[in-house]
Amino acid sequence: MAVLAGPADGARAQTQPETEAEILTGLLVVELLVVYAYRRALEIAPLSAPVRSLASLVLTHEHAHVARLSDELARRGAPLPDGPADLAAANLEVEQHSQVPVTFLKAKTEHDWLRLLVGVERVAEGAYYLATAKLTTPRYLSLAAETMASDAQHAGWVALHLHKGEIDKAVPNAFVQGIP
Amino acid sequence: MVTVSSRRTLLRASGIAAAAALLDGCGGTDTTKAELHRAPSTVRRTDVHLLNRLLDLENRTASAYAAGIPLLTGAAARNAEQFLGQELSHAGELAGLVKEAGGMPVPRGASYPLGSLRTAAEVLRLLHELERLQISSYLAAIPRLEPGSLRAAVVTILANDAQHLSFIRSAARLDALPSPFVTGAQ
Repeated sequence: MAVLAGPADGARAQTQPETEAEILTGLLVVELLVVYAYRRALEIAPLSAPVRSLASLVLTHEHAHVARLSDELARRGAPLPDGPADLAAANLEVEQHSQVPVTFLKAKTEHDWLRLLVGVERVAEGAYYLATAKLTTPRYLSLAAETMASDAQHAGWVALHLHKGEIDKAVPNAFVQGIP
Repeated sequence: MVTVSSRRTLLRASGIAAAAALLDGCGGTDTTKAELHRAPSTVRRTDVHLLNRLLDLENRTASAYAAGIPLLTGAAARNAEQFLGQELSHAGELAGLVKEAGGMPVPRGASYPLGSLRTAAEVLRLLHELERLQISSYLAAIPRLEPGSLRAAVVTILANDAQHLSFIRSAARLDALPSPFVTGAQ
């Protein structure tokens, strides 16, 4: 399958429209990164009790996102991607997204980690936003919309902690796109 | 197993062309946004009715926020003020899309049946119901809209209304995040 090939087929992906399986796979890749981020934060970040509680709940949601996308891909007989192999791989992934202002290797304080988590949620929002334009199967569009809405909620609450209760900074945009 | 280079290909497939472009050293996020902005944005006349129904809902919800804010205090009031502005933006966007299709945007009503609002709890209950209704309406509409850029435009509104719903639920002392998939059922 093209999704498992190297840069040459990556070039093909840029000139030919993606299949819906490829789009779903791409969404799953992003959600696996989000899962990694919350898991890592809960493991090592100096989080206050309220933030830890929020992150724990959100992680259960992100696992559900991964499960649903995985189920859809399994129905199609498509291979499932793995999450980031290790910290270095995860760090490389977040470095590619301008929405994530702090990398795993640089996040030290709770403030850093909150910025990182908001960032990865925005990456997810952006992925679903773009996917909604390209998907056509109603079932997949519903999945994308329902999950994007969930990730937007997560971003809002994490950002509320980041910005110490300032709602205009936590929910600043009337149109949630994720991409800057 | 998916290798690192395969994950780069998969990032492209996710539609995050910007990330892939960065990996290739070719470009930035402008490419991704530009792709959507250049996409055919012609709204079909057949979508006018759908969009007008969503617009009417947004108008009604905005009216509810405006009527309810004086009864709210503290964070609930500040949130509602922020969200009212966003609901008005949603209405403006939908009205623009209707006009783009050659249709006439449904006008904002002089008043809407909001029930008797006497307490903060009643306001929050009403806002909760309206935000839920908006979300379920957007979810029903999205698969029926063409082209893809229109669906993407509408999903950005849905996602923001989902944020409103979550904070309204919290103010009403309900679980803010009851489900990993926002369907409007809660």
